[in-house]
Amino acid sequence: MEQTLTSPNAAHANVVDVAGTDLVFRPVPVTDRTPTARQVLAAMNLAPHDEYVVLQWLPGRDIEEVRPEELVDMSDATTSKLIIAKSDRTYRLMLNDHALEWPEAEITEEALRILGAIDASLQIFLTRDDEADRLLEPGDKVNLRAEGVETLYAKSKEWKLNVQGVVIESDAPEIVVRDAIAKAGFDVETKWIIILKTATERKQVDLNYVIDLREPGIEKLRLTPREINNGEVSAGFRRDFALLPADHARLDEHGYDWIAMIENGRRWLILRNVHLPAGYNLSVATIAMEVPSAYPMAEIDMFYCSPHLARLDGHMIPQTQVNESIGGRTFQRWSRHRGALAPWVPGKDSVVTHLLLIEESLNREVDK
Amino acid sequence: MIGSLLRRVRFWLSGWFRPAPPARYALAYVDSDELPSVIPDRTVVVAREAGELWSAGLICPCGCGRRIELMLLPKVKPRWDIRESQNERPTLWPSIWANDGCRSHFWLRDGMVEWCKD
Repeated sequence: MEQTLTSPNAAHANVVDVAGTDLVFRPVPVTDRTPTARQVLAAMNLAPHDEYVVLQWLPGRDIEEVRPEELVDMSDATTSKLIIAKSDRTYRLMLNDHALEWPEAEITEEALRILGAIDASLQIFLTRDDEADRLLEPGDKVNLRAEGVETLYAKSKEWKLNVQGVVIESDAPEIVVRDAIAKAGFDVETKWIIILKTATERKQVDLNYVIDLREPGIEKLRLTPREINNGEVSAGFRRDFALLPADHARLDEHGYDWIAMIENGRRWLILRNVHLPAGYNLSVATIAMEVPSAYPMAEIDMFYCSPHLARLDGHMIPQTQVNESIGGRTFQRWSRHRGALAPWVPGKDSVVTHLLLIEESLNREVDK
Repeated sequence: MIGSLLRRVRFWLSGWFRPAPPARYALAYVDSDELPSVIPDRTVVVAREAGELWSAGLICPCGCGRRIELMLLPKVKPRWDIRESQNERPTLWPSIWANDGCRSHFWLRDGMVEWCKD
């Protein structure tokens, strides 16, 4: 036992961790097992001693000044941490209810994080009297010169999101679009076009999309009422029954604005904004054809126009006297039938070939 | 001095006899990703931020007073394209179709409203 006490290893055991205000600690060997502040300064060759402040960072995370002749508390070797700086005074602050002394008139946000063991999920605020507490951003410094003890505290990051100009806060770093919209006071039942605006992209999202507020650059949820449609979308409006895939493709290919509607058990294909040949009272009309349930085995017969077509020269159009109500609108029925010479051929005839007959019928009427 | 006065008088007179221009939509831009709270009558207001077109707004031409907002951002559905003609009039396509209320359906071409007959 006697030997180990005098061995070189024993001297090495007398070590204190010392840092400047950068809080980068390094071990400093000291000769005494219970050094005074002055002895530590001597061990570090810092003089004159009265120009330095020695602070001890205690296990409870308080920081206290150690007077020159005062003993450094070495009872808990793992927390014998000293902060030494050239200064003639200390400044007092409170961080998360711990009393700290600091040898400089400013303390960085980074130092506060180290001293308070505050991880990145928390934000540090400086308490202020007559205004909102100040959030410290990385790189910020707190000025300790003012009278009184500066009080700082850490709390969970508040996740913020701008929803169409209304800034909402979320406790969780993830929020569902539906909840964000409701929280901002917008009606979730309204049909919205929802755009998530980030620093790098604009993405259309739906009500069930989960926004990760941790991703950098999340800026805004932007809402537009979905009450206006365009020609492209309205074409996708109503598909009560399925056409042949080839019909569907050809109609879309030719840019038809069409709907497939079932009304009173009858299946209607309705084409909107069909251009008419010159010679009629209108330049565009809505044209309908009835697609029998046995289509394409059964034939498509006749067609229907709305509004009523008339020839500009005043001549009557034969076989168009019967009206048909389709979708609440009155259509003029054009009784045009395939003759025996051109019968419906299942597998060959379709919506598309019927459209050619319609076109021909409309042209023939004004070519007379 | 007198010359300029005469020019102004001539301008006034010509103004009296000029037929009233058709009520065309003008085009204006705001520097924002959102439309302003008030959209002037007969104006298509485009929300443009850092050169990026967000949306176009106009008051419905049917007279119902509704505010219509059309998305211009790429990949958004539904979306529209806008073009500015040489006389700074807006053209929008495809057509604009209100699916409730007034149910207006029209094209805006070169600032002029063309109603769809459907």
